[in-house]
Amino acid sequence: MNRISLSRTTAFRLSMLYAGLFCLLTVFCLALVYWGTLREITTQIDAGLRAETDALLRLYTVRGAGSLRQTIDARSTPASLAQSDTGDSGPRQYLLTDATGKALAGTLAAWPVKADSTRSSWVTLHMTARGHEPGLDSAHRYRLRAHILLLPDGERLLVGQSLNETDELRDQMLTLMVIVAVLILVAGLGGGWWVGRSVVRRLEQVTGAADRIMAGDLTQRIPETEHRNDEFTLLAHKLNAMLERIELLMRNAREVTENIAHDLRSPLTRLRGAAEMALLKGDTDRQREALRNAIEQTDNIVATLNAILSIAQIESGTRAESARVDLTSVCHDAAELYEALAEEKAIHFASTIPETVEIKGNRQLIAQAVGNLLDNAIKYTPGGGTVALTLIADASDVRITVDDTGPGIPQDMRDKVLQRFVRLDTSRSLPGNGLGLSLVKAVADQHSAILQLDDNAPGLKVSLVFKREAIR
Amino acid sequence: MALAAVFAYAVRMHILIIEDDIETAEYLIRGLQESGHVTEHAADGMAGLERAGQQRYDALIVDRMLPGLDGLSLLRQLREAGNTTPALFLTALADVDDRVSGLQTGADDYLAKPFAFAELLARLDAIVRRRDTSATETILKIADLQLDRLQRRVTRAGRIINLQTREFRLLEFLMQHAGQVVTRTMLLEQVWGYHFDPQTNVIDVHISRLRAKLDHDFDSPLLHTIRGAGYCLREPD
Repeated sequence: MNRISLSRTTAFRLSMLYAGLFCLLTVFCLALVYWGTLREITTQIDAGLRAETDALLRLYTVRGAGSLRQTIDARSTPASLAQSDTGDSGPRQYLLTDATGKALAGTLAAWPVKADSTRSSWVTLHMTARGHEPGLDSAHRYRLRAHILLLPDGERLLVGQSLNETDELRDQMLTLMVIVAVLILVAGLGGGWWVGRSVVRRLEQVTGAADRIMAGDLTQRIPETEHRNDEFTLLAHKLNAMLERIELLMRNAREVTENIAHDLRSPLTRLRGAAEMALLKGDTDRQREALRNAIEQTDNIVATLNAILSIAQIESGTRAESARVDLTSVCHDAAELYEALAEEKAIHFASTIPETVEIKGNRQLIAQAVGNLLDNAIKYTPGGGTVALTLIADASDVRITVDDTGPGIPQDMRDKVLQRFVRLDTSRSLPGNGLGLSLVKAVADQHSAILQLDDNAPGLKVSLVFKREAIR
Repeated sequence: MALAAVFAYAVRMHILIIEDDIETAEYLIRGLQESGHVTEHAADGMAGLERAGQQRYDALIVDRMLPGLDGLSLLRQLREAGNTTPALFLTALADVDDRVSGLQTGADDYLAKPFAFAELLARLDAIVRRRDTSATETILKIADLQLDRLQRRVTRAGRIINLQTREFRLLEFLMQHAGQVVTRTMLLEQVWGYHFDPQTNVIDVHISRLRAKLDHDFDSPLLHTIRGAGYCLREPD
């Protein structure tokens, strides 16, 4: 038995594909949020820095450099800095130098970048904390966003803000992204495994049943989950219906084979006997008689074979051509053909056939069925009896009835006579191969008609009942 | 062979047998030769097609399943080439659909194996001679029996014989094949349109009814039973 590998199932692969796609999409969304937030924070920081430098520049312009120095000194005290650390932006940094670059006031000891001649510039600096910056440990590396102003007298003013918290936010976001991606992948893998496993389990029920059937057990069926009405139950149901049909056909085929073997044995024995007699008989007349007998036996065998084949063909539905059949003319033809036969046996023959009765079906098959019924009736009815053919059409069904005043069939034997080769006349004194009614039954089945056997008191009444809705 | 005597009055035919089974072919050759016909044999489809194309035959007997070129294709090619030689199909398949496809291809008749030799001879005779009798003749005559197809009237020696519809058609068919042996199966197929074998021989009853009307009051019988073969309507000897 070939087991299905989980990782190769479509369900698993689809789950993995979805998990991967979701993962990428989530990381992309988080990245968008991250970049958006970062931009917003940077803009706010820059706005704060610009406001501060504007204030300081105004102070410088109005009150002079000394006042600026004092203010910067005041702002550079740890307490003041701590106050300016508003949480989402790091602590401020200040530096005021003279035209030569010597530090005059502020939190930074030296000018951190090469001085340039522009009046106003924005830089992001990589700094190493020396221990006295508020909120920062010694040797802590951080980034500093700074606004640099060249004052009219040559002094330079730097107002900066640590990007520490922004960077922390970035790190947190990255960690979050990794965690989310891993979670989605794990969930996808688990989901894929779970879905894949349940699909595999259901499919293994099907492949298992198929294996057992191939091993020869045609009675095997796929388990159908009653409470779940899903596509697998539907599939199992359809496959089971198909298996049912196949089993039936196989059983029929086996029955036919067994019956052929069984029923051809006796005529073949008779044929062999006749041939042997022909060899033994001395005079040519008796030899000729024995040979004629052999040919007759051969014809019987061929007729039986043909009958079996037609029944098999009708039952397998390969002759299911369907056209409008004028039952009136079918019955008239059959009546006309068999009336002569009845008359010769001194049997009273009556037929009641209304005009224009049509159904859909196969004319040859229906004609053969009616012929067989009449043939049987005439064969089993003694002289002086009555055989009648009646065609009745009403709103719901069309009924062809053949009744006779022969010996009839006992109630408990009626199902049995529809089987192949069953003849009540065990002595087989009358001609026939016991296939007549089986053929009628097969024709009835192919037309979704019902074959009824009833007591005609005395005699037998056989009806072929075609349902109108079934034949339209 | 007794049959040879039965069919002795039949025309001598030149027949090509295309059959791959040697024993069946030998049986056919022997039977046909004893019935006074001349035969040739081809053992496969290609050889059969070649022979049929080279020479004129009165009839072809073609096995449905042949090595090389199957019977259906062979006949289709012959017909497409304008060859109208009457052809009889022999087949191991006795299906109605199979019959129909055979006749549509241009076969003139169809016979399922195994068959009675008399059946084969009767059918061969019928397909070969069908062409001679005009289907448009309105009055069919044999001896003092006359059938008027337009007035649907039958007379023998001037006396009107009343026939039912089916009896009329039965007689019409027999008269069209006057002098030929007609089998029960042929009658069932041609007169009743039944392509299956009724278990009882209903045809015999209809023939004896017809015979009663035709021959009862007359000294010389026209409708004869040919034992082991069928029936024959023919002029008194």
